[in-house]
Amino acid sequence: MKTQLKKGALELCVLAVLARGDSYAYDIVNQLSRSMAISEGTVYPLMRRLQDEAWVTTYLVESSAGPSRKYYQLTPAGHAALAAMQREWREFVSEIDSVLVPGSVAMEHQQ
Amino acid sequence: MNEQSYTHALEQALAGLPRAVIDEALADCREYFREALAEGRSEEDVARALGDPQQLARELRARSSITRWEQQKSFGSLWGVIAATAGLGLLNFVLAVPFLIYLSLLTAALVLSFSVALGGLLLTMLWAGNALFDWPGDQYLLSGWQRHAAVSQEGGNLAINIQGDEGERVLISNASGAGSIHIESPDGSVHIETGQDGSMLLLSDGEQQFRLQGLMGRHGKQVLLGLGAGMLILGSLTLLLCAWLARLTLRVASRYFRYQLSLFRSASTGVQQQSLARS
Repeated sequence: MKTQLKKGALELCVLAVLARGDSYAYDIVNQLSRSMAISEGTVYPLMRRLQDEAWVTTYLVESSAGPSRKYYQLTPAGHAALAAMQREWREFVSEIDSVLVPGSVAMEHQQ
Repeated sequence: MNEQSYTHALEQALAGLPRAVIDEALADCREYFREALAEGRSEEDVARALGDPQQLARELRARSSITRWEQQKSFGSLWGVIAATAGLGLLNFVLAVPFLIYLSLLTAALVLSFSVALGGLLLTMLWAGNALFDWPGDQYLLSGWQRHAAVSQEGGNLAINIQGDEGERVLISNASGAGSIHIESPDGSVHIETGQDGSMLLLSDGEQQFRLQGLMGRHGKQVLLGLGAGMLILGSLTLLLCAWLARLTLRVASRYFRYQLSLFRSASTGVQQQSLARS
């Protein structure tokens, strides 16, 4: 169940990480894996897809030691996509909550 | 599997894609190894966590073929997309077979109508050249075909006879003052004739006949023009229809493949759940 849910949400999570600041692939994986178990192999194709959608752009940063790093940056379209996905996610969660715990959403509204 | 063998396997699996795409994927892959090794992980651990390079390559390949296809919507690249998507095991077999048949028919129709239009154009041009400039001359026109067909001459009457292996026959002749084209196969025949008595068109399928007569016509070469112009118009019309169909197909298929790829992506995300869940 948890795996199923995570499938759809990984894109949202990556966008959310990038919204906090530009980052490179390994760091994105690290940030995500602090809170969730993810498969590293799925991130690269995902980054390609985000580029294809023009939600992120990339730029290279020379590092002091060794070759440069590829940084990913959210585009305005990426920010818009993130906002839309967040809204959908919240709606989804609250729908499920209202089924699982009848009244809980109503109570939140009363407070 | 270490870094060397992983990148090598990836490069092998990506062979055939544009060099820039391969180079970028390899560079990204090496960067990832570099970062991970700097954290003290072993090459084998990273390679395992990245998963099967073949699988990664298959998805990159599918993605690249879709991108290429969206940039230049051609049938060649559509076949590429189908092959790549089939490689992912995405394409529902039940759905794929009729789609492939449809696509083959459409491709065949495109080729056929293009050939008909081209043939019509050529015939019309030959006629126009002959009528306007006397070039190509009557004799030259016919002698050029001699290599591909039997040309016979009896008392000033020329005949070109093209014979197929399975009983089909095309006979072009000007016997007894009338020019005629006779196309015949085991299933039926088409006969077009024009002479001093006028022109006629006869279609026959062995049992039924259709005869069209009383057309104006004094000159054998008008058959050439009629046939040429007819083929040109027919070919162009069907070509337009096919092109329209093809564009529609490409648009619908484009959406379908994107949808399939998005399904695939969400299905593969999290398949290999062993990870660096080290917090």
